[in-house]
Amino acid sequence: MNIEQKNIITELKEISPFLLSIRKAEGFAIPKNYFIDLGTDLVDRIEDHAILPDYLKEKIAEGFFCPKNYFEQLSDGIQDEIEDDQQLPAFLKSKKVEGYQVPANYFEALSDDLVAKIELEIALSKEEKQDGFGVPEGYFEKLPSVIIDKIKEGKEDNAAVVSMETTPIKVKPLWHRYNLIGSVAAIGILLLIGFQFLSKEAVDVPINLSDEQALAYLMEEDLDLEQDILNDYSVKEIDDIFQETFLTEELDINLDDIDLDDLDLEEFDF
Amino acid sequence: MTEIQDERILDLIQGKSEWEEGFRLLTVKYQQRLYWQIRRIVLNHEDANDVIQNTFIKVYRNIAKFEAKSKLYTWLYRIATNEAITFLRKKKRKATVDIEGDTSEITRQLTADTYFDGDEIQIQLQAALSTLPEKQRAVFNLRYFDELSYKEISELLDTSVGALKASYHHAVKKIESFIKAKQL
Repeated sequence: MNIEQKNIITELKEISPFLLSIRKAEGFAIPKNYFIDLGTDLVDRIEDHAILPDYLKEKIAEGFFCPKNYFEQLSDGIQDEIEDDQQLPAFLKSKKVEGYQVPANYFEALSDDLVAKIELEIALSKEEKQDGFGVPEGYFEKLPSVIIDKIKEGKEDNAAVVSMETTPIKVKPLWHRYNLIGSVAAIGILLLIGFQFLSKEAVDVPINLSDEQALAYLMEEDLDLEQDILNDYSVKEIDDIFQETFLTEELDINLDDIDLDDLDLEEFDF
Repeated sequence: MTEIQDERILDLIQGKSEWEEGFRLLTVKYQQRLYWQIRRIVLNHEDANDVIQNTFIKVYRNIAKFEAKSKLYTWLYRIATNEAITFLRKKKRKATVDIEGDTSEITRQLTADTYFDGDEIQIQLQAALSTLPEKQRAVFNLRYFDELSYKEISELLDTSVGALKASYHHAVKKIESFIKAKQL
């Protein structure tokens, strides 16, 4: 038994002799050889789906490739995604109450319709077009490069924003730089600007979103958090993430309005 | 056997020809720690298997963004935790009953799970854990089951040692009350 295990037992003896008396076991089991096969399964899955990160895609070749069995699995994948997304958030469901209506069986048929359209599109893309409509020569060959260039441009823009955000700012106490009158005036201006900014934010909340816009917004909100984590943010930034993910939902309060050091831990369970 | 260094793993993954070896080493090194972390959140093996696979794929897609501001495991742990919580939320939205809040549903799930062989008290312990706030549950699991020091938990959850001790204390007390109430 190591020192930490001894510490844990001592601590538990003080807090809850009852819990200490319980046999410590979780009861969870796993299939035989699960961990032996997991790494191989993952590599196979990545190779099958060619889930390559951007930096590797750039390295692979100038040409573009299509993942193995991509088109065979595409419609099933999309259908699964659609089925997942059909669990609409409460506020969208409430639109029905507000008077919004859709044709009978619209949502039941939606995924089938979409899959049928996608399959038709895939089929048409494989065949020579017979409908008379054309595109500039080499259009589809150039399109991926155009899109990738746009993505790269976007990345450069984002990188610039990040570097600006991470620039350290040294703040000196206000009274070191300004006299009392100047400080009061500055605070007054800041309060005014802040009030206007907050008021503007409140007014700018999009109320009349379409379903598509609302879903896109919600997806973006989810992705923001995930992206924060994936970006390996700093200690301070991660602290904010955890506050957002865990505390706000548990406490249902605005964390910006409170000082965490002042929290009554007994009351808030944290 | 000497444990392979994270730096070596990252070098291999970022190399064009050696990514597979690097990624395999990464999964071998961390799969069990992450799996159990996920399993304690989602409870059943099938869900844990889905989540850990998605976690590693997400890691693979985003490994270039890892700048070693935190330890590799800390980054992996956060992705896995986020993935597991997101998975549970999606599942909760689909479920006709409230999975998280309903301890009898959790008891039913665990009892029916082929890969759960715990006794009555362990089922009650899991049911009690399900009533805790997410972060408090994470603190309890890391301390009680993983036997990590507060300093290690502090790095993972980015929370002060004092707050973690308070959190663990409250978690233990609540679990005790829950199980005792069930036994009455």
